[in-house]
Amino acid sequence: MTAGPAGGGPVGGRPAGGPASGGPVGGGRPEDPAAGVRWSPTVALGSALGSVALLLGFAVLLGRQDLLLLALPLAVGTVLPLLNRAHQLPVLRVRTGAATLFEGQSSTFSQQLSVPDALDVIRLRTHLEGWIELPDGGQDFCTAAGPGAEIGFEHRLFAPRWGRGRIGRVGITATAAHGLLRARLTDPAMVSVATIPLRAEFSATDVVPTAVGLVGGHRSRRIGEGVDPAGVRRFAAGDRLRRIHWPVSLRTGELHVTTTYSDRDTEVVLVLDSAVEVGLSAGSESASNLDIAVRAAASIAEHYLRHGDRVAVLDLGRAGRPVRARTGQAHLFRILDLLLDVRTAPVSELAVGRALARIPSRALVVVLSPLLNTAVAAEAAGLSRAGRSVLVVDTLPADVRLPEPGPWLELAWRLQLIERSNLAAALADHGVPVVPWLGSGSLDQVLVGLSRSARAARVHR
Amino acid sequence: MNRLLAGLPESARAGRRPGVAGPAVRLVIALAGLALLAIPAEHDPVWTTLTVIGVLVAIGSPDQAGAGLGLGAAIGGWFAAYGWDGTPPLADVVGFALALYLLHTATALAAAVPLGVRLRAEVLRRWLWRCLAELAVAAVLGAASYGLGRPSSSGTLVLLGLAGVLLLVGVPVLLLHRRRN
Repeated sequence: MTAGPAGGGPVGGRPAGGPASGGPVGGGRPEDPAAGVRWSPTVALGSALGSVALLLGFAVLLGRQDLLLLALPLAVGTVLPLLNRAHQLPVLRVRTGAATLFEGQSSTFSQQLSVPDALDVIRLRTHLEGWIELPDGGQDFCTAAGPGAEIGFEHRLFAPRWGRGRIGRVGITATAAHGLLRARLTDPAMVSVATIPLRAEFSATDVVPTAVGLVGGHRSRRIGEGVDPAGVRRFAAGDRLRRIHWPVSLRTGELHVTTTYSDRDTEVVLVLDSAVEVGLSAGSESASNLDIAVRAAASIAEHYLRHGDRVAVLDLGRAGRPVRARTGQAHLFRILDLLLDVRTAPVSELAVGRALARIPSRALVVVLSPLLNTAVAAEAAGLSRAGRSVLVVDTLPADVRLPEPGPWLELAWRLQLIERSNLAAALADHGVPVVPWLGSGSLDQVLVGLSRSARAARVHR
Repeated sequence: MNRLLAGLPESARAGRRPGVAGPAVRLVIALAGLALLAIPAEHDPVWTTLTVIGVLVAIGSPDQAGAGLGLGAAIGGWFAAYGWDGTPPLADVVGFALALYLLHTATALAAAVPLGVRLRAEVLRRWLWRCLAELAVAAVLGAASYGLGRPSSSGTLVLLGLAGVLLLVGVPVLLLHRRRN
């Protein structure tokens, strides 16, 4: 039951968050929730008393010594434990090694039990909510303790999947007097653990369809301060002397300067389609479309935020609560915090329409969707028609197992896949590329293509 | 179709390793029940059936009154086997008393330790130690009472029985009084 080293996950490079602890559970003090808890007799006490009374009664009435001998072990086993019975309940303190973990990372969950009186059996049942596990059996186990004992248990706390988890409602069942008395108490001493989605090593080309703003890492189409050369032209008043291109100037006899494309930032809007969840969500072993979408969103957000861009997130299941476009490390944590709460929710077309209409015209819109919802595909096509650069990242898992395989369900699923292919083709016709999420570099080709089409559109105008 | 697929979200959790202590304790209950059936010289079908039912209930659901039924039925079977004024062999008496005690204490432990729950070694160690202590005290008392011999009149036994009943009634009353204080 002893845990391994805390913070075993090598992911992300950010250490796990600080420890979190819960309050005391149990105890007989007046301020404790266990103050009203009393010891109650078990069925064993009743059956033992009844048997002993029966045997002793007949032993007296019939004058039989064998009945007295039969009653003796039961009588001793009833009277002695009751004379030495426990009065106070144990006090439990819980604590986790880290309040924030990455997917697949482990920490520790400690339970400190203070036992004032001797107890024969103490059952500790920890209720876990969300995607956290105590894999070494620390969730439900029995122990015993002598009087005045201080016992510590350390379990391995494992976070297989992103999301919020809570350790709480530790149920203590104390059995005393050799199984004749029992007390139960439950305390909602919650300890929260946040599991941050595992971000793949993601990188993308620095080419974006529309670079806006004043500074940033993306080459814009405008001439200005930057690194990428745009051409050579005659010197004009106001040009910096360090920009003079001496070979051309010497060759032509006139001063020429090098012009560059300005470096600007862009705004990336990540749209999560959480209308449906398909696939087996089982940590690193298997991923549902929501797992893929959340991990991809975290990776893309981290990449663009690291390059100084502004990133906004819109969860279609909660379209009324978008994360507005900001930049910086703090904003990444804000986005990750939102992603922890992503879950399947009905998508309101009206709310989605309103939220998508607020997306800036020059933003790069990345829709993370399994393309099983016609409404989301229609909104993506509408955004593209309105002049925004939109790309769809297909988040449908490669292998989807149907929960109850049957002829009708399989047929329905095949029809759904055909409809999905038609949706993808229709989106491509509207200039919305659909790419599967493959991690690093999976968006490069699409971003280059979108950038070209954005330039072409500007030329035609 | 999407509504159909909405039922798809599946979650998988790591399986919990079942503990072996729970089944072992229930095995002790079963063995004690078998001993209760095997030790008496004769068997009455009614008491035997009731004992079997009680033991099975105690194994399946130790929190219920199965052990009480098993103990009561076994005592009834004891009377059926040896009559109201019989003199059973001492070995049978000791074995039967041990079986009664084991059925009682193993059911009490099983009620505290549900199946599949991991049991730390100190629970069994502590429980066994207390069992041995109680059996030792009972053995001393039993030997003392046996040393008195079978009284010609039942006066000694009446006194002992009255003392036992008083003890049984007095202890809970004393405990109740201490709790109120």
